[in-house]
Amino acid sequence: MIDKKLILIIDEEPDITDALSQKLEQEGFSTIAAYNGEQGLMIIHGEPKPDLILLDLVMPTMDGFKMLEELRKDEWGRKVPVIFLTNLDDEETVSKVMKDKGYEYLVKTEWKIEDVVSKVKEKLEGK
Amino acid sequence: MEESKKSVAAIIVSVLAFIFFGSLLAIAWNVAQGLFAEGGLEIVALKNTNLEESLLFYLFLVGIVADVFFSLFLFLLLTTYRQAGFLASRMTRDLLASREMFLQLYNNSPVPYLLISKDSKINLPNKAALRLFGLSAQELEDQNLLDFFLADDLDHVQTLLSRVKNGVPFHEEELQIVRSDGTVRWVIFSMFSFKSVPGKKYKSGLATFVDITERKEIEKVKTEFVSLAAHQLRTPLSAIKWYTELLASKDVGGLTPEQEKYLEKVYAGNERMIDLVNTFLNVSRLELGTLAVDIKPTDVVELMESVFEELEVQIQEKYFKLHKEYDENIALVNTDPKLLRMVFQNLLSNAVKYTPKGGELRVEIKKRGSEFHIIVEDSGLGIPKNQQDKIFTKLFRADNARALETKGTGLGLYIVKMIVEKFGGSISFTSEPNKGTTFKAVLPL
Repeated sequence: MIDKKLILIIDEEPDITDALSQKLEQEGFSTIAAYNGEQGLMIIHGEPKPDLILLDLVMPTMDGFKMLEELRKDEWGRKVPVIFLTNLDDEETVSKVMKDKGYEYLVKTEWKIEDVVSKVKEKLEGK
Repeated sequence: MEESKKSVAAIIVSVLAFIFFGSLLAIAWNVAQGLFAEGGLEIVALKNTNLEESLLFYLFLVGIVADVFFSLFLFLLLTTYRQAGFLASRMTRDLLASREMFLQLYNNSPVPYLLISKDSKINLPNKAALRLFGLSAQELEDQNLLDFFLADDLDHVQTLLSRVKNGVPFHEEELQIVRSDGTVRWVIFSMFSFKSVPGKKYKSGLATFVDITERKEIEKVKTEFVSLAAHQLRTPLSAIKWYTELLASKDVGGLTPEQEKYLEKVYAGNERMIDLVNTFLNVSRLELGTLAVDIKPTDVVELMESVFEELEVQIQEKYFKLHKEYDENIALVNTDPKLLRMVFQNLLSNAVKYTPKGGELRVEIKKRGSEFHIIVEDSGLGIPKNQQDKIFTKLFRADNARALETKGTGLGLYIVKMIVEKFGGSISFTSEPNKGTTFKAVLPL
């Protein structure tokens, strides 16, 4: 059995997580969805751990900023690649997120779904 | 009233002096007459002549004139003295009134004022300053001004204070101060130095603060609203975009040619909605002043070429004759590439949209001294003469543009003008209906 990379998609909109799951699975990835930061953390603390996280920022219960803060608290969380996939693009949000190098920041409406998948591949290959 | 009394006194003294000296003169005249009559006094040269009497008469006249002049002199002296006293007292009173007025204005001004000594100590805080800092005059006096700023801003504030000490004022620095109760307020901080004695070096600085905390809070709320509104609008648009792409990729099944055609229309309509949301968002941010300018060395020719690439399909469809003239010595320019890109996109897309097939398009970027010029010229519709003054107005579209192309927001040139002016530049145009339009943006290097 081929070891598929697991992508955790955290977004409050099921339409968005479904479309991404569909495309990513077609491209050979496994996916798991969470609809807020708290659910995302529960998945992360269980097994198997995702190889990459696609993270939205505006979500109920726990937003993406808080989720990222929690994620950074342990060694594994500091290393796992994160791609922000959101529709917030104001200067304050972008600079807040981009303070830590190494994160990708994609505005959903500006990216074709196939280009998002390409970004995921690039990130996993360490580019 | 007092002054008129003093004037009357001066007149009385002068008249009395006149009478007194006139009486003395009359006595002297009578004595002299008596002596002459008794022969006890003779002027040898003029003895027993009329001249002797005439001389006495003349002397008497001279005496009267001297008396008159002396009295007048006395009157003038008294009057001048009185006026000098009057002027001195008036000046003293005016000075006191002026000082009182200054102190009242200073103390009661709604703008907080502080005098800052050479070693950054606070002196003479006015009432508004006490309210701003939440301290009494005794508590604020002699405190170090630097203690009220956030740690992150300290270096910047110290640099500003050093500038003032060297005679360079600063204006409208937006900073945060910490009040006595620990709350933080946004202020516009300005300061200039002044000298109490001409020629003396830095004496003190007058620091003024304008509390803009509420304005900042309103701006924040507006910005958050705009961001969230954009987020909410974009969310369904991203879902439509991605599902349309999934359908078009045929990964979920084939499509008939007609279905494909309709899907393309859905996709194009959705892309137009995304553009509209982005445009409205940009206008809101430009108007709110929340679109931060991120200046960095930018290859403007490369930037222009990337916009050409975006419009490649439309340009090819219209078989334009393209002329590009880029100054070779225009290297990297310090500008915000994201904002400048919006300028290029709007000017070029307008030229492409409103120029008929086979038309000409000329783009020039050139360096002129400390500026660079961007010229976009087309052989298109042109702008009607009677509408040229409205072309940079928000939501305005010229009649001929509206008739040719229904799509359009009337925001493109409004955005262009706002950005160019934000950069400290200017934009102008010349246009001839049915011959074409030339836009020229002049920007600092």
